[in-house]
Amino acid sequence: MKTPDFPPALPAGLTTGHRLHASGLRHRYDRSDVLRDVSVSVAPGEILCLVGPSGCGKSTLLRLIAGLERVQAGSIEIDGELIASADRHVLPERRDVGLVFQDFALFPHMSLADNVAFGLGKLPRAQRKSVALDMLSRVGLADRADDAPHVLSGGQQQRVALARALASRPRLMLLDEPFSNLDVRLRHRMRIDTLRLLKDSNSASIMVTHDPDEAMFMADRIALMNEGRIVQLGSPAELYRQPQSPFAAEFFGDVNRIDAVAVQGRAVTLLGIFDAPGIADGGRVQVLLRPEALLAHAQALPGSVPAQVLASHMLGGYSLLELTVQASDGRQVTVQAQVPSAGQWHAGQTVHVTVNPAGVFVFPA
Amino acid sequence: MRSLSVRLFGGVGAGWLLVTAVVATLVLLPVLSLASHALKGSGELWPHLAAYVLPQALQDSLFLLAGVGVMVVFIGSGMAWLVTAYDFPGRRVLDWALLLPLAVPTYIVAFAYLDLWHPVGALQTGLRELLGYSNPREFRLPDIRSMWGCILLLGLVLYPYVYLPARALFQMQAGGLIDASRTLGAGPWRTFFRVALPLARPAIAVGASLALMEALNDIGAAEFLGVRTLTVSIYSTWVNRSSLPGAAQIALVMLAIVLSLIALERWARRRQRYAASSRQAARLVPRRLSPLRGLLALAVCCVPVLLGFAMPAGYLVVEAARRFSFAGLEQIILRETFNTLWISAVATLFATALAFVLAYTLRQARAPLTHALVRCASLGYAVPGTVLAIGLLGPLAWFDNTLDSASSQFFGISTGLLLSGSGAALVYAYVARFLAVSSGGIEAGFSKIPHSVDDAARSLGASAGRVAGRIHLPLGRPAIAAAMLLVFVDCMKELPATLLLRPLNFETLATHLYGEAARGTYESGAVAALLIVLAGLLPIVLLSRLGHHAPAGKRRTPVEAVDAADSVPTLNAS
Repeated sequence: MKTPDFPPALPAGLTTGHRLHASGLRHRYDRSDVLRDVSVSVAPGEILCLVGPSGCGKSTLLRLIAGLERVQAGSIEIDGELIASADRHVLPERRDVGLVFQDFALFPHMSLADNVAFGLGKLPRAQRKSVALDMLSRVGLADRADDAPHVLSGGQQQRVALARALASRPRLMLLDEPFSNLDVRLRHRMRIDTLRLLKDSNSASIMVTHDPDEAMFMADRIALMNEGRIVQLGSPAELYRQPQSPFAAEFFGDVNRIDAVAVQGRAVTLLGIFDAPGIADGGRVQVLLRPEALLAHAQALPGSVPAQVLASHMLGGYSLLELTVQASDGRQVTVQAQVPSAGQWHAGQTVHVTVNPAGVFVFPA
Repeated sequence: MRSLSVRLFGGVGAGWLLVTAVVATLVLLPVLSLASHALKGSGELWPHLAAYVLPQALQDSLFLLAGVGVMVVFIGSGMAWLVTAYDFPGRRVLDWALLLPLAVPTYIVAFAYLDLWHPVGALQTGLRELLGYSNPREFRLPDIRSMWGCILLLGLVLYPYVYLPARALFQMQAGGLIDASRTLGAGPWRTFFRVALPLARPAIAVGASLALMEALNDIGAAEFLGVRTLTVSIYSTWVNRSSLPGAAQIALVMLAIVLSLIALERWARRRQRYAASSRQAARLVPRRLSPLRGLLALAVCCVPVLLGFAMPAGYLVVEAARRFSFAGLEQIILRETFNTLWISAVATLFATALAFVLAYTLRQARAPLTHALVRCASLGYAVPGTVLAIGLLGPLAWFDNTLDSASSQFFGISTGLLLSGSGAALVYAYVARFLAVSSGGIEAGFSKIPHSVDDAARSLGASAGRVAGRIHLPLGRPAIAAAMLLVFVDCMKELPATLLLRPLNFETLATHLYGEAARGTYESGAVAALLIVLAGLLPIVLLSRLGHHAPAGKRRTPVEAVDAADSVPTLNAS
């Protein structure tokens, strides 16, 4: 999925690769910490997604890198050149960093061509015009060059904003929730187009989003942020399959949560016994199970647990089952399972549940 | 017929419509009467006016407007850019201190500078000492009593009309676009001229047109400084020649200028609705200047505050203290303060009540005719005080005389000059002139109440009046209170209409000051002026609070300070 399955529209390596390195960034507004010791690197041609709940500091990190905020502590380098620290602040216009804004921030009093040409101030006028038209044609808007931004649809405005930021071949591309103002259908289309443009330009990119699906779709690597820290950094698969915290597990997908107690390095639950390495006997743990890790069967299998179907919701390709598992001592637990909808499931039915351990995460409670 | 009336009026109750229509008629009455007086006019004076008075007055007024226009745009937008785009020592204080000159009415700044700027006054004596001259004959500044003096002084107190909207725009709406310009490699100058200034043009146009209306409305400064503007000519034609038709004719010329100002403003902001697209954007983070440049910026920003507020206000404090220690708290000042307060309070109450009705009528139905009626009722703000007063003289005299003769005939009692003699005329003029200020403020307050709340109340069986009383009155209270304060202070400061319409022997603080300055006496004028300036500071406190204070308890980062754009105060409704 990461390599485009169609020929690139640009010659490969339009820009030579640049590298970003930020380390030890701390930031405070008024009396609250927005960033607490954040370090991050982006390799040439790599797309890094910053995800996290609102207020986690991801937008601030982006603004620090763009130079729109001054660094209070820590440092930012591009290609080994220090561009921001507590003592040094290269102005945003001298950083050669492209930024795509959440609301696109197109200049309302300029045509699309003038918007795209705005960042090409150093080139001669004729060349500015031709580069702008070239960029517009690359996003499929060459015939709208003389239009004003407000006559465009949201998706078209987003493409112009992207073309404008890319036109001057910045050393680094920053995207601040670029799709959040678009409706869902358009968002999917724009993700594909944007990914292609970014990969074609071979620039290092950082994209901020609060949508985990979007991050997994776009990113080579994801930095999950919470309360001003990067809590986990890795590939989309790592974040989904090997979450390092309950927060990470819950952020990237639904989970069922069962409280349990560790016995000899294992957590015993009504749904089975799971590895709980490194937790002392008697320690309380929480067991998180992804809904798709619960498999329902009509007949009993070795190790399966009987469960009652409380409700069944058909959701197209799969069904969501609400299941209750009851122990002999009367304890019971209700979980959700995501199962192929081809099976005939109905409320009141008894099914037999097995668990795929790959979708189970155990953390100290 | 039913469907037609609903289409035109939007199904608003007849009572609401009736009040709105009556208010609109009363506001437009002076203008209509003006036209009829001017048309039936006296042939004998017009040739004289057309040949000797009007050309000079027109030329002076236009020259004054042009000069003041350049000054307010230059100072207003320049200062706004400095305090929003750059960080330098004292910026936070200057941010609101630059509003202070708004507290000094034009006639007071002229009153203060007449003495300050006098060849042997404090300013020039100090300057001579600084430069090593001993005698006024060796060194003196040009006479302030001139056209350029008038332009300078009016510009110094009127630039906040441009500063306020330009600052709000740079900081809020344009914040994201200015950021975008920076990340695209544009330096500060390119960003200012290519992005910030074009975006702010509508806001600057609105502010400049308000400032120019104030300049046109001014009577004190122009007269003290010897500039024969249209306003001064209208006043002297009526007072010295007792010619109502003559004054009405000049007033019509002045209305034409007002109309072209409005047209100019509309033209300049024709594309405004697209300019405010960047609503989600972050608030602009100012750029820190090097120490030397920071000091330079500080010095530049201090100039308008010093000249437009600190110097005249300081002068008034010193003079008032001197007078106070000499004569104590004078009876005449107490009486005039009382006059000023009660007449302003009565006018404020009427204006607020009517504005509430107008704003609520408008809210009930956005149908074309209702809309037009409400807009007509708000037109008074554009009519200069002198013009309004001249236009009112005719209808008031007619009403008083008719009532008096009818009463004498039927009851044998003379009612005398019921309206003109009682101050009712003055209240009428204040309400007509400042109704737009209160209705604009109340409308803005209502706009924060979702329409679904009205619908919910109506569907629960409440009448329109009950909804207004139970929903809009309590929820709109802060906006209504703010509007009341603005109108109250505007009434206290009002001079031109007060001069023409006040009852005999009725003096307000403003007319007292005018009288002393016109006679060239400086007795307790400074005390009166100081009281007016102090009252004028109240709305500024309100403006600066509205613009800058986050709701308590909510953390506000530059990234999240989005809502603040909603609380930018509007100076005036239009």
